[in-house]
Amino acid sequence: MKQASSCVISNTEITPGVYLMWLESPEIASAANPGQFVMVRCSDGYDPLLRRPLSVHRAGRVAGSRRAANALALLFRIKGPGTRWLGRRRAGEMVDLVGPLGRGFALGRDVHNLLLVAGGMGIAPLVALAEDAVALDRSVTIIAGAASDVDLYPGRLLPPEVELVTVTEDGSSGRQGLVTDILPEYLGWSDEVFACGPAEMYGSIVGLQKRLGSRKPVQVCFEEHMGCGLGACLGCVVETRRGPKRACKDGPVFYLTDLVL
Amino acid sequence: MTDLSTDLAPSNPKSLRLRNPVMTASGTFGYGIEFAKLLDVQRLGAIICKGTTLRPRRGNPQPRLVETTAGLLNAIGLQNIGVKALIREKAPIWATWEVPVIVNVAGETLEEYVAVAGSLEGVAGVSGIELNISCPNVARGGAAFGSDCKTAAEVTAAVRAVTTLPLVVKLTPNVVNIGEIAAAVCEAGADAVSLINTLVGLRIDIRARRPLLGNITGGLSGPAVKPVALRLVYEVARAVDKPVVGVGGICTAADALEFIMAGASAVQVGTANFVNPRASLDVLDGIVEFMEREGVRHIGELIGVAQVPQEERIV
Repeated sequence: MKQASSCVISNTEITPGVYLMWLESPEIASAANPGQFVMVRCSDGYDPLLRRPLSVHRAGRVAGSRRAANALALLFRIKGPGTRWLGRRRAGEMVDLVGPLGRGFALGRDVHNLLLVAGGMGIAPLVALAEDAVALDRSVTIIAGAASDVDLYPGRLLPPEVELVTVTEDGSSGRQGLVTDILPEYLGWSDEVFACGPAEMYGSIVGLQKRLGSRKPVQVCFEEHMGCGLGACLGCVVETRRGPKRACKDGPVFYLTDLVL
Repeated sequence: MTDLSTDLAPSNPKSLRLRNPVMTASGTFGYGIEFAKLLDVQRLGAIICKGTTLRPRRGNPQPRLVETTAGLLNAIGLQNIGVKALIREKAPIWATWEVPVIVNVAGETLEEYVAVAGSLEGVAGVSGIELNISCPNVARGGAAFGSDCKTAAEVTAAVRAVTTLPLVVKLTPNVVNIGEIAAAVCEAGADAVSLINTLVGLRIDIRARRPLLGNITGGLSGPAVKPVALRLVYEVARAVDKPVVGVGGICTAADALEFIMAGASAVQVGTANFVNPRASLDVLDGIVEFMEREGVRHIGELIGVAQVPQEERIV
């Protein structure tokens, strides 16, 4: 875990309002695991005050660049003043990061078929997991959902070995509906499910498992507002069957069966 | 060579002599252990741990945090591991540290405060008590004790009776007579007072048409509260002859120096730890730099220098 002022390599709007930022941050990138996150300072001063927790989106070499084998990619949607500030950063500017933080995804030895379920911006931590899994010769299918065609994460940014299934709420691309609508079709194939998205999506997965009588292990990456990201402020506590747990320190990845939704 | 040392309990035989006046505020620095990987916590004047009750507490429902302009509203609700686990798991680590750790003690009843404080007597690794009679986010106890001279003095005296540890009483700003309350707790046996705890605030989700926090109200901290905290420290420093610890929105050395010049013998860095985990050490380094630049040899030369004598005030 480090606090590092990191140089922006590139910052690109890849879909409307969503930015992919590469940063030169060798110490954080080399230590980062999929599902972990960094706390990003999103202001030059004290307003907005708090850092924003952003998932490790990718870690490694930037495609087509000779710079920084240990670069770090973040994916974020402009939601307020903090992410707006971050969206305005240009190559060469510095951004202050603390990380990597939290407990990421656990990839078991016997998990060969990974089903990744991304609701909207939930794709952010799953791309890092997909890259790691593919490098270990595992099979990866990602079900990625978005409101509309233009909001879908570009498939060209994924490793070619990954099977991408897209779902849009308005049916403008891929299947129409929500990721959880087509999840049952892939559940049987998978050894384990890794999901990231809104809390309602996790509720739907619990319902599905119950309805299908499935006990497939599901790891979910929890998104909570965080104060410190270090386990100190207790602002991001989530209810689990083993009591209240800190999303930043005990998570952000939890087994779905442990969560009280 | 600059001398930064400051004593927060000169009237207590045990004393609470700090190497420097920069501490970290309760609830913003965990048990110190969480931050130890990011900065050399041993360089701090002292660490104040999370508010600790007799039994573990679950705290308030989510959401517990919401930002405001240059500020933070929190309603954690004193979630903590309880004093037994603190003595078993945290104190042994602190006992190996150079930096003193002060335990922030909270409770719902007078008896609970007394039980927690009493159980810390003689525990290695615990250098003092900060009595939290100012938490605004709990239904019982907390600020209910600190909002009235009589109850504040009663709980202070009761805790004083069971502990020989240096005792700092943390005051709430959500009162009209903070000077009188400060004087009352000093009279009842406090070695020092610290202020301010958070200011009670509210934010509303205009789409849901409901308060944003699970607890409805929360405590405001961060740079937004600094001028209010500074005014109260100035006022309390005039009202008591015991050391005053300044807390509230301190982010930089300049902020800390304002509190010291207002009359604080030491300061606590709180919410700034979230923004910049190194904030406390940056504050410390900046104070040293200022003293060297200004030719100040001892921090004591700065404490209260901005106090304007009563007769000079324009009526």
